[in-house]
Amino acid sequence: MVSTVTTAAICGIEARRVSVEADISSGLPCFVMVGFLGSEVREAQDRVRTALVNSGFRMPSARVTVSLSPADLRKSGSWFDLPIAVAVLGAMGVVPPVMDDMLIAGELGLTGRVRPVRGIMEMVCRAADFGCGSCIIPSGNLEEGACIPGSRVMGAGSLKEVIDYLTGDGFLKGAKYDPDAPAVADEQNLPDFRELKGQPLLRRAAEIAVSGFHNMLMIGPPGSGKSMTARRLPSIMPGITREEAVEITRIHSVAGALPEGSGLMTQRPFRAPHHTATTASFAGGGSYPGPGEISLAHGGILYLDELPLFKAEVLETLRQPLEEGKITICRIHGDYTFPAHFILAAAMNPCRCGFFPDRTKCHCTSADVRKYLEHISRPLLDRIDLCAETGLPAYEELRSAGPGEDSASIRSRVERARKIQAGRYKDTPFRFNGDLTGAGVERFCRLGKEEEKFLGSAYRKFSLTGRGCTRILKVARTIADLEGTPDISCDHLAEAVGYRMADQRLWKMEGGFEE
Amino acid sequence: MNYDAWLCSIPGLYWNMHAKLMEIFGSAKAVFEASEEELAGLEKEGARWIGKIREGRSERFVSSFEKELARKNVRFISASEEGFPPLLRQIKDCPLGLFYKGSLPSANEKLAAVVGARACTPYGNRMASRIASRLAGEGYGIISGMALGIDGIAQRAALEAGGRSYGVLGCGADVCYPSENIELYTRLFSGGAVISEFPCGTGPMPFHFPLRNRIISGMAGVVVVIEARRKSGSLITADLALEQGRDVYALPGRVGDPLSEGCNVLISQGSSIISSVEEMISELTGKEPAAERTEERKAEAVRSLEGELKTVWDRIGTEPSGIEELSFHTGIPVFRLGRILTQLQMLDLISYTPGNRYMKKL
Repeated sequence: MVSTVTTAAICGIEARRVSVEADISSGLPCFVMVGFLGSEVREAQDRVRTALVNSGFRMPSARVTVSLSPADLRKSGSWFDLPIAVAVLGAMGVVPPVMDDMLIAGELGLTGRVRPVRGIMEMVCRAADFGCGSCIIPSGNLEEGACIPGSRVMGAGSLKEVIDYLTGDGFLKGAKYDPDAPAVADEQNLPDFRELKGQPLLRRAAEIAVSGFHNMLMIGPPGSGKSMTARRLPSIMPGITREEAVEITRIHSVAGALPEGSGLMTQRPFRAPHHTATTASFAGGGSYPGPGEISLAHGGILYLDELPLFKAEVLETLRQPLEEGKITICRIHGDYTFPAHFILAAAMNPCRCGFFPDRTKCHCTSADVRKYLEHISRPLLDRIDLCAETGLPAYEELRSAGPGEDSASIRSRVERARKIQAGRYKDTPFRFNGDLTGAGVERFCRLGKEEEKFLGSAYRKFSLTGRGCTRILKVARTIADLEGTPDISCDHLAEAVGYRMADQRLWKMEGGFEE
Repeated sequence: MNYDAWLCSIPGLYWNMHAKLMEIFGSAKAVFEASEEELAGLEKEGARWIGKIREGRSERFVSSFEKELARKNVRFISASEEGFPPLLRQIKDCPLGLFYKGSLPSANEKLAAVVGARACTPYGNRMASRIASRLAGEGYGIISGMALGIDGIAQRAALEAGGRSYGVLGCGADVCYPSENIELYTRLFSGGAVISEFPCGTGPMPFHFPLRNRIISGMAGVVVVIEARRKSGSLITADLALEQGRDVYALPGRVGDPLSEGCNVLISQGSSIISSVEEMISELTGKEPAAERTEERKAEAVRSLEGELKTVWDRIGTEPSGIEELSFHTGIPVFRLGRILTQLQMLDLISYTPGNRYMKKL
């Protein structure tokens, strides 16, 4: 008798329907599994056999064949154990043989315990498309599965519980979608801007960056507060909406980066990969790619400390996501696209020792400084809107600065600026000022006569590029939004020009870095 | 065969050895023709470098060195020839001859050396290029060591002002050191010359540089020191210049600033102080000091400043100050300060320096 069970495979970030068929026929006793299986799926047969025995069933002494289809779809992951076990039990006649309306996933322990797995949220999300009205998932993933509206999920603690449920002898603990569940945790233990002493420039740049979803680069000596600022960025970002939370949680679920037993993510991600990161870990990779660091930062902050120390090819993978908010990875088996719309917050020292241009401490030659800076390519630099160059605060500044403004007050200004943007970009492909393309800038960053003149003379004075002007306009738009003024003024432009200063000047110096 | 060129081309022989040979043999030709016994006698007296002359007299070297000079487009001038820098000929340790690419200064060309630190400050940078371009405008050729920092800045400024410039190297004239200055090196071929007393292919050894410095000061009538540490090549040049009886001008700096210490010491020892560029030029040329037109225009712009613009302008000095520091002292929040600083830059009153620091434009 052939039995069929439905489960799913994860391709990139998407779940695809997989049917597990099992058949018991006469022949030499053996357990054969086919269907383009990854090694963790092939190992399932030993776990399944032992779990069956330890749950009180004997494997038939006949030829057991399990086929996972479609046969040309690569299956990897550990959640095929439970569907395989159920399919075998169906073929043995223990449970009903055909269960097309139910999606089953879970990893088995040798005792028959069902362990939590990754990617549950994505599978539950797509279950309805596969024609499955309910899902049996590990009880450890129950919270996660219940986040999807309209889903009906049941958590299994052991194989025995599943069998009892399927034969009508017992119940599985269910969970229901709760539309009123708060998306944001009440108590957010995020680091607060209150703790950052002084550094008004970094604060200002952070506020603008978060308000308009601009990428920012902080340049300064060690101890100037770059990391402190970056780690406090999530605290001034507007609260996470339910849709965003689902989107972010799905990516984390697929990547297996969700803490066990957790439901929706209630905080925006803050990813700070080390500079030894490889291209695959960064962009997403493997021959069957999964999401990388930049996708895990989706909707939040990607913080790259010591930017010039990252490998050049790793940094260059940032180009597409910074431009389009997603990354496409091409492999021989197909293209995989992962969302990657984040605020890049990068930090770097001005030179290898970190103290340039303080010549009492820094002995790097100008060639050293240039070499250090040149690790960052022009195209990457061109995609960063804000560049805040800062120094070490003097002792008096440090001591006389009272407690800094707290994150809540900054966030309220950010939220106001975001609201203005939401109104302006309704029914357009854009969401934030930082997303604007050339045409978008033309349309939404109109200048008056005087402002046009001002930008023109700045263009000549600071030898800007067309791209530089676009960036300045976007940032000026955000500054105006922060002030709540509908038109961009010369003041806004002047401030925005100030944030182009470092990359306009620092990277273009000739014959010595001394001017 | 040019025997002076031959003797100067032998690798590993320096001017003091040349001088000794001249003292004994009288001419390079006599060295070439000297008998083996004479050389051996010298060697016995302690001149261990005689072996190099033997190598130099080998047929292979004799037949190839002139071809090599021609191939690399390096020319040679002997100290006794017409066209050799006349002031240099007067110093006691004058080289036997010079290799050069480009063209040497003409007999009546006034020459000034502008030297200074490699790691200079924005102040030194601005002053070096202003002084060099003013001197070039007065017809001075600018001599320097083509090093990073002040040397290169001054030489570029001179070329840009339409003047001529000469780079004296501590390596062979066919070697560009430091390699970052390759663009300056090639520009000098047409805008002046690169000069060296060392044979082609010689690398930049540390002890070559003090030797090179005596040629810089020796060629020039005036030596201007922009920024120098107490122990530095620039100070060696200045000391040599004083020994050689040249006018030495030093740019004053702040007490305690390591990069100005050398200059301040020079001033205390009696060098002329550069109190203003125009005054220095007038002293050198004997002309009335020209009123600086740019200064007037600037004064006009300064008078028109109002409110916070003026507050910030008054706070900015000739030393760079950071934006946070300015904000702290003026009480103006950074976002407004950023706007003001951009405006002041657009008025050409202040300039940006690395580290988001700003200083008055000199």
